[in-house]
Amino acid sequence: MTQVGGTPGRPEGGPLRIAAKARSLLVNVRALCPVALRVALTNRRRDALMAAIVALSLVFYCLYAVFLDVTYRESGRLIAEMRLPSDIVVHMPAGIGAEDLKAVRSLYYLRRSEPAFLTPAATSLGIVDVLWLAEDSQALTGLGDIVEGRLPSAAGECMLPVTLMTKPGPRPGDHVVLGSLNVPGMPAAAAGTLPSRAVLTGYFEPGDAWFGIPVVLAGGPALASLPAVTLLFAWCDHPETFLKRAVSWIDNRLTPEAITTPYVAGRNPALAQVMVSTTAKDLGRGLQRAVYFPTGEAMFLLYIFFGVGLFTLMLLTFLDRRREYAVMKTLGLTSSQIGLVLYMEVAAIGAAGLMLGAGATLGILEIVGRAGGLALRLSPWILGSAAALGIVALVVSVWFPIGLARLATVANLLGGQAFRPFGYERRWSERHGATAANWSAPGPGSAAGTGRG
Amino acid sequence: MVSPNLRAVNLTKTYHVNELVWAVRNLYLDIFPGDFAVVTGPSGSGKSTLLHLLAGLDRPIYGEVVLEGSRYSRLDEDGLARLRRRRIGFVYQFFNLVSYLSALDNVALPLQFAGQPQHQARSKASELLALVDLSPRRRHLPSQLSGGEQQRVAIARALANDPDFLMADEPTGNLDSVRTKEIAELFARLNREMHKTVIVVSHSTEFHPYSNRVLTMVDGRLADGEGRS
Repeated sequence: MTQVGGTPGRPEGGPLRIAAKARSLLVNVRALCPVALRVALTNRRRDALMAAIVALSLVFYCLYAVFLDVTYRESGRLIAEMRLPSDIVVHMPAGIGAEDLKAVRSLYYLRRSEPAFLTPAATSLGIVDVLWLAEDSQALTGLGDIVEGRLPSAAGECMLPVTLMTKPGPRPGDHVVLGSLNVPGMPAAAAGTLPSRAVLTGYFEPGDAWFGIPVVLAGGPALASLPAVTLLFAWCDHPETFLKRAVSWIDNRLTPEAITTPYVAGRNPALAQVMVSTTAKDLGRGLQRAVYFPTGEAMFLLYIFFGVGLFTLMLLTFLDRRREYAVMKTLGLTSSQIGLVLYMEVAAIGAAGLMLGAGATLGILEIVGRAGGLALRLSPWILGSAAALGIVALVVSVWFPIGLARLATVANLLGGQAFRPFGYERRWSERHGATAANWSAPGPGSAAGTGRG
Repeated sequence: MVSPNLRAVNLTKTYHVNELVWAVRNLYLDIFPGDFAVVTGPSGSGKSTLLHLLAGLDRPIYGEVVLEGSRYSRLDEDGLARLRRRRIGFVYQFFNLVSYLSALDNVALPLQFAGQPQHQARSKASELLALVDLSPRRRHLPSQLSGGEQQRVAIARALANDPDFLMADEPTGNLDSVRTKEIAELFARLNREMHKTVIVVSHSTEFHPYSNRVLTMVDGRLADGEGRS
């Protein structure tokens, strides 16, 4: 006897077979799409609920991922090793101690760090005097990169010479305008021509995330050996004492003999290593220990919770529609065609949930970012990974109903009997004495007594 | 001699709910082209199980169902679905219409499942609804139709892919006597005019005048003279 019900005319060759399958899929999609659309629209309350749950899961996932991303980025910056960029030339005076050398590198590190992290990290360093020397062109070319902050917008605020904000920066003879420090004993404001030999001093002030260059020092024997325009940055917690410290430092420690061994990128790479404060590193590691890893674990557990919840909900919803599958199978729909209907429905649910969730996430990030002054952004990677995980959950949740439709008979699906696939019913019956031997059945093919009336 | 186009050979189906229950036992049955067979018998005698086995909606524990020399009771579920699509129309007692589709779309459904474009499927479905005198109600949802009308929609749906066999499981179980007679006449018309082989499971004797065979089942077997045990 032959079997009926197979697919007739199946092509033999690989490419032909793939083409035939593609054609068949296209025919099925065209035929079943209106049905799937109708199913989705008719059950819109149920499908809207599922889309809302998809969206909610997406929002949770994305918010946690963004938070995790920010935490990782910031803590990573505290921990990461840095090197001075190649366009910086640093002249280190002889006699400057190892601590000062570290301080130069630390300054670069602080400048590269986020302003939000600058203050606590800088505070942790204590008072550090930093000498940052550079030959005029290189130093000034890099000035825009060095200067942080913004133009003064209110009286007594800060005080960057306007000309320093533009590249290549001031040159001897330039007219510079200095802002007010509001420091007793200091001029309220200053304006004038930059002398041919000058040291611009600046400072970092704890509690403020930016620095100013309050004064131009001109003359003095120590300055004669320096390049034409030298930036001297110091960092202190009391501006009142800073000038005295700076002048004293220059007078006492800067001598012509002190200018030795310039750092040029690549020539002495040991000097290019940016020193990161141990305290800052500890802060970064602490941040990772206290926030990043627990948040990551919480996120993983939440994702599992929501993923499993979503998966279970979809699964139960789909399994609950057994009568629907039974009718479809009775009318001749194969399990793959039933799967196609479900996949189209799931695609509609997933697309709606994705759009809803992405929109809600962007809105929440905008609001939180504005309120907290944070740059929170939803990267394509986060959105993509959320979408991919959601698709996996949805696709897997459809597998089971398709498997059920493939294995279960219509009678099973209609609930008339228990679902016992893989010959279980037969084995159970045989264990309880129902064997062909004790039925005394006649052989197949007998035409006798065939019910013909 | 006309050979049977559907045969049940040593067909056996058991269930177990704490104990072994023989729903259909060693049953032999031949159905010939153009037959109008009514399967009757007391509740629990295995009538519906037999019909489900013949329609490929269920699987036997032993034995075979043979369609025109080809056995199909061992086909996988997808194979059976394809077979039903082409050869067998099935009508349930509780109609099993898709509640959110109109009568027209319900009838068009199997045609769409078979790959017909929607407009062609709807055109054919309109003709089938006219055949069962339901043209004016084609836009109605199942919930807006009476029981008899729903059953006629189900019959039109079963006829959609022009099957050779029309099988019905207690098609009038939910209907009053007037509607039962209407449905019985409809089956008779389909058997007579469209040459469908009809197998109906029913307690009702309304089908008997139109049938050429009445098969009585008792304890999973056909009664003497109707089957072999």
